[in-house]
Amino acid sequence: MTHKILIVDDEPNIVMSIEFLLKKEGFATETAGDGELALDKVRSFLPDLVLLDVMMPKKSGFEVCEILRADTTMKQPRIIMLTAKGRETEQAKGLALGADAYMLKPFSTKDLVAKIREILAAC
Amino acid sequence: MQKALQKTLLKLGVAGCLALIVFNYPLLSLYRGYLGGLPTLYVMLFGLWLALILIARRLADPSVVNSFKRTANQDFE
Amino acid sequence: MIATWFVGLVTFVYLGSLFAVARFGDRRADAGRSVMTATVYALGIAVYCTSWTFYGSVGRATTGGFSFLTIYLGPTIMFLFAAVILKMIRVSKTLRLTSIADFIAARYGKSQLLAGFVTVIAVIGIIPYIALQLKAIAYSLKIIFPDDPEALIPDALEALAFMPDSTAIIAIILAVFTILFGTRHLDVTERHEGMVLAVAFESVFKLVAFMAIGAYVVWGLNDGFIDLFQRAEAIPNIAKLLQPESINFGNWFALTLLSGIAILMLPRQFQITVVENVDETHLRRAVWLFPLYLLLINIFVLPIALAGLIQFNGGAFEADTLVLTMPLSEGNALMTLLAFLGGLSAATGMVIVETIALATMVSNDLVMPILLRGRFDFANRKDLSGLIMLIRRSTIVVLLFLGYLYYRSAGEAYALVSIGLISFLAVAQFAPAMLGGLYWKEGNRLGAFAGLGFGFAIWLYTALLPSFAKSGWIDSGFIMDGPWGISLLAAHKLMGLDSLDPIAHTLFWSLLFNLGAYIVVSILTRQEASEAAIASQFVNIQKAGDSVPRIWRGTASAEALIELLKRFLGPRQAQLRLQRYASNRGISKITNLQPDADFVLFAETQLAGTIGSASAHVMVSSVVQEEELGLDEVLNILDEASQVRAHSKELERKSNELEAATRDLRQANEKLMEVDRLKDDFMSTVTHELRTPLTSIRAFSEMLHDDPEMGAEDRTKFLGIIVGEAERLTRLINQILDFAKLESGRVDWEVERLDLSPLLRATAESVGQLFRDKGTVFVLELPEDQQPVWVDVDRDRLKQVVINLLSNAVKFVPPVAGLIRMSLSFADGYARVSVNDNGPGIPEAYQSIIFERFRQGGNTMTDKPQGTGLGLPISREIVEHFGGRLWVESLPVEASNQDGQEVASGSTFVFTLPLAGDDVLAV
Repeated sequence: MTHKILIVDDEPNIVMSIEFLLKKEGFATETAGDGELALDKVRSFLPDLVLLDVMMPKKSGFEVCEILRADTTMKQPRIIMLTAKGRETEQAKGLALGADAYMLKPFSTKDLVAKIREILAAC
Repeated sequence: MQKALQKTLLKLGVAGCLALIVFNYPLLSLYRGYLGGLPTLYVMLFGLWLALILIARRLADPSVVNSFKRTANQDFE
Repeated sequence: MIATWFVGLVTFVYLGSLFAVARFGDRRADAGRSVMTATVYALGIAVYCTSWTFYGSVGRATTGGFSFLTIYLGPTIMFLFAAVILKMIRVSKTLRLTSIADFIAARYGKSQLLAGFVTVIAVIGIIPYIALQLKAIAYSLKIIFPDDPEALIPDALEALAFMPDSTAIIAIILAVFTILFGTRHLDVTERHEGMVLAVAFESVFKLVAFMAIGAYVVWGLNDGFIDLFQRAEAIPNIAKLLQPESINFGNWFALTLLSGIAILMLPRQFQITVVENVDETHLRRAVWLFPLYLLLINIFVLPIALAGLIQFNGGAFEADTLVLTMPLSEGNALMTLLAFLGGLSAATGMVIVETIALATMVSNDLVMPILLRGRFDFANRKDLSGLIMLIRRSTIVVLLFLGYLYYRSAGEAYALVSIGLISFLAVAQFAPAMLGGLYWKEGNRLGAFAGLGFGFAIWLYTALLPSFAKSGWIDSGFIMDGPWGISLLAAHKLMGLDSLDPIAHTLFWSLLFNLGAYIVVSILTRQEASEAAIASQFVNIQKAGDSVPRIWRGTASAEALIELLKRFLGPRQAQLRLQRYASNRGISKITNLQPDADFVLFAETQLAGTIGSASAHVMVSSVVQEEELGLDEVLNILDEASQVRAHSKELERKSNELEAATRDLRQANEKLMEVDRLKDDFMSTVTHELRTPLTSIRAFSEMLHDDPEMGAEDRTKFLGIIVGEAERLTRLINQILDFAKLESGRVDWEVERLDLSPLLRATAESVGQLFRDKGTVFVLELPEDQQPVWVDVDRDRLKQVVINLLSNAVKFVPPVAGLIRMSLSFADGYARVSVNDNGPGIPEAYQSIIFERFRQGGNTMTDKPQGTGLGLPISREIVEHFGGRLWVESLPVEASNQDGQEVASGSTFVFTLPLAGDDVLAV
């Protein structure tokens, strides 16, 4: 079956590029421009995986991650955090909050696709 | 505290030196004649004396001065 | 006119009340509720006013005019030099000194001989003074009962051979009182609170009595002050007393000086002021209350004297008893009785305190040394406390008996009348040794002996002997003509000095030789080691405080010292004090005390309170083996001590400085860390901002690269995005560099004077394409009549600011009916440029955030504006560099006009710039 992926980022150009990439790779995608929209989309779209930007308006990626992981009633999606901040503490924080992987911007499209496949294969 | 005391003692000493001057020659020789029916000498000697006592009280015994006019700044110890 | 029995009754009721007051005071003290307040202390000092004041002042005023006042002005002035008194109190408390003899002896190496000498001078000088008080009592009785002065004595007692007169009865009562309340404790430095309270009571009584009589004379017998003085003015002989011309200024000064010295040196004054002082802050009250007392008791002296002079004009009268005779001659029984009791209170107060003071000196400094070294089996007795007490009590009796004897034998003689000032002169001889000892370390024992010796000899020759001669006891030729006709040695005109009255004459010569000998001998002779140590302690008492260097070396046995204390203090007292001493040092059992220098000193100080410092030193020395310290050694220790003190002060100062430096360092460090953190934040943010466009660029580039089949439409779109993001990246890098340059101050400003109007117009035109692209209306409002607005700025930088504001505004205006208004005005020396848009506005909370680096107010906006987040911070830096300000005013869209001035809705960014030179703009 096709895996569903939700792309969350406040930079329209980034969202556009990832969406184009993943569609070409055969995934079903949805997008969200901020943290709150992301939460709504997770509940309606029920993605298998969320690509989650950290620095966003309204709710940061960390907050979204935390809320999702605290909600035990729903099917837990895989989460890959995307961030432009390279600090180790940020990576550790994301993983601690329940993210499955961490990608540093700017990333190679090949690496991103490989990471997505690796994670989806694990479940 | 010790410094404040030294200062008080110094001020008193200065008052003492002033007293030595106003109660002796040559100023003493100026208090002649009468002032309001009383001898100038009598008025001056007792008047200066009283002034000196008031000054000494002000300098040395603030507790008394304060007890007469307890104002808002009691807490300044 | 007054019933004898009634006078007797009142007298004994008065004396009885004295006992009651004293007993009350002692009881309160024993119960731990001391009556010794500052006021009681100050009133106690008023024991200075004796019957010689009460009766004698008026007498002096009748002949000397104002000169009696010197006796009270001197003490008033001396009390202003409270520093001296305070130092005396501190020294005495520290060393447990008991009397003025003890004080002088202690200062000069605890010399028993010196203590004895001072005591002898005091006794010779003061006994006649006590006699004078007894005489005053006897004399006042004689005036009230001229026919039968002994009427007070019940007939039954009169039959007894040993009951000579009523004065003797009063003397006996005083002896009983003094013994009861003056020798309660063995330790003299323990306070006699009851006695002091009684004396304070007497002070109040005599003041009230005297003022009552004064008021009675002034307003009862005359028509007030002015009436009295006017009547006096009419009589030339009296009138001239009231003018300064009657004053001999030399004598005036001499008497002021003499009484000023006496207030410190009289044994009774030392007793009350120093020994009985329980709290040195009480001095603060005494400094003014005692002088006030003196003033009050003197206000009526001259009026009473004048009233007497006028009443008995020309006739003979007893000037010294006017206070008593005026009410008596008017037949006013109440006033007469009051005068009698006032005089009695003045006399008894003086006798009580003076006797205690003298008794302490005589027993400690005359009797004790003789007993201690005598053949009596004294030193071996187990408990000497009872014996010491007995000695002191007997001394009181003997002293009062001597006073009485002197009064009986001198009778009406001149010697008694003039004795007040002669006593003053005697005690004035203590001044150089005493004050010198307090302030001059080099003053030594030989100097003190020499000074006292000379002074005392001159006093004997020029003051005491002449008073004997005038009493007719010895030939009086030497007074005016000199012995064997040698006129230079005439007792009242030494060296031919005849312009001073006898008192001033004696004061001058005795103090001159006393002081001279003290100084010269002190300089010429060496101080002993033990003396140097204590001299330093005296002089430095204020500075040293408790850190007095212990200068003692030797071997001692604690047991022997404890034994010694028990013998002299009594076993219980000794036990008590040793226990206190031990527990202060954390030692539980007194048998564990170490016989070190501290303990030896403690023992000696305790003994000093009981038997005087000189005797105490002798006794302690007898049980310890003290090693003789050389003078050099002592001086070294003292020097070391003072160096240690100086050193520790220096250390304290240094440590304070260090602390301050540490504090500064810590603050600087915190600041640095804060700067560091900010820089870190900055770097992190910059990285983020750079990576974001890079992410898009890389992703699209890779996709274009990997997929050659991509449709032309997508390809064009993606390439467009890549170009746009690359431009954004470039802009960002430029601005970061720009901002970094601005912040570090490494910008080359090209400042020129230019008119803002054309600049704004040109800048607006350069961004005109932006407005047209979005369909926004732009309005530029410049001052009317093309008036130039000159400012000193960097043209390009200012353009940067304006472009930044305009492009910001374009971002926020609504896509339809967007309006941007830029206006220029000037006021108060500033040009003002505002850029207003009709966008959504900026909430108050974000109005300051937007000026921070990389902070865009975009969080609330639906579509994120394009920008670097550095435009506004850079603009603000630029504007502030030219002395202006940049801020934002933002109102809800609906905001209406205010005060007729148009305040637009949306956001208004405003900046000001100072106008260039006032010559350019004349409004």
